[in-house]
Amino acid sequence: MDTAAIIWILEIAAASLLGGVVGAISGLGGGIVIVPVLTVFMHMPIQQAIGASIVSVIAVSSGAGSVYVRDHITNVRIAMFLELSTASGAILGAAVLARFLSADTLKILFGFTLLFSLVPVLLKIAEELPENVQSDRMAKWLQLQGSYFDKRMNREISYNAGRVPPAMGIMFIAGIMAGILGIGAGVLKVLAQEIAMRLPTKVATATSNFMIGVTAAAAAGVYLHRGLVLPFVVVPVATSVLVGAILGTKLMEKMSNTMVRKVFAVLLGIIGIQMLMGGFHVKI
Amino acid sequence: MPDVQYSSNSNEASRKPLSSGADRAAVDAPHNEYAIQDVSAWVLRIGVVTSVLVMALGLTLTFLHHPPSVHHMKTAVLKYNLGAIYHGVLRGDGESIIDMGLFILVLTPIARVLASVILFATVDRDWFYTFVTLVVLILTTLSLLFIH
Repeated sequence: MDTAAIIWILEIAAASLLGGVVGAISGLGGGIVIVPVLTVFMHMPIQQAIGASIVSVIAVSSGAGSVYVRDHITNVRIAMFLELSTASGAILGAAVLARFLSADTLKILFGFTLLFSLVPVLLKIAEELPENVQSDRMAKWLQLQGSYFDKRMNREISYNAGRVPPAMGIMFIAGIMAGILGIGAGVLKVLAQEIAMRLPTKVATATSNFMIGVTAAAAAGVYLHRGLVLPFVVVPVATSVLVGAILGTKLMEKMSNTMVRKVFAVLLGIIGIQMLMGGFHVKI
Repeated sequence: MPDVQYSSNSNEASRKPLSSGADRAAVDAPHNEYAIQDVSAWVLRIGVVTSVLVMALGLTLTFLHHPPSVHHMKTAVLKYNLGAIYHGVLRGDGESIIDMGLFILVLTPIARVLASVILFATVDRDWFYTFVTLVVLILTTLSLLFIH
């Protein structure tokens, strides 16, 4: 038995554990940790690293999702309604727009969008719960309002859902990004709910977490078909990301909304800069 | 069914002001809301646990029969061929069992959407959301199968 093989698997597992924790708290899925570790430290080609990351997103989304849904933090109606926009955007992106838009242009646009959207997130960084949110007509008709039991505040929190049309627009763009770049674009999903609909942050990240699995499963076909999913990489990634995700849900449920938002804001900045560097081909 | 005691008030309250769309989901809504959440949670849990157990079994068998080199692990690619995986699994081939576990994982979120379609249609009888989830199911399946 080759010890190098075991060490190699353990390294992947350690990175994935952290990816699972971060992914479950932020609603982003864990690729943010796994892709750089696999490419920078383990010298794996970027496409294969993204293939592993797609599978890890599905594992985080399902593992953490089962906890958040059971605890009623996820809003299933919001998830399904917004997923409609993402799924249509993804088809349009992959089938049509991918021929006209270059990945570099898209990364640069995406990067700037994320860095600009840091401003509204930072402006309300200390706000525990959104106040004076009115459900718009569409949200009322769609019955998107809801409530969840906050384990930190130890009480039931009722919330409204504002401005559904802009959220749908953002989700449509998230779908296009996912269709062309092959990423879950969880960051846009959280932003749509956090900035446009003004949901409590925990509801936004839990609901995003619920949706990214579906988007990633739709994107998985490309990676499976092109032979970019490596079983011996994916097994330790999926297993340990799942353990990390369950740990992440325990932490998130005990955290304040402001703390969850801070974790998200840091990742938002990192992803924005990463996208710009990718688009402009800047290497560290 | 756990934690139902704090379920009802906000949903009831948010439904009252509805006049135009109220009829499409008026019946016994809070209870049904939780049916869909609980079933989704179970589908996800069963899918993800099964796939991880199957993959772990496949990995164990692989290491027992032909311990792979690091080079092989860095280059072995998933077979995107259900027939080949099926025959491999019947032979007890470790790598095919890993591949099967991976497919179960990829299908888990889709199974969850399928369960939502069925629940929105049968328990909630909410045709608008049945339609929404059905379209999501179709678009997702099309992307998985046909976009390369």
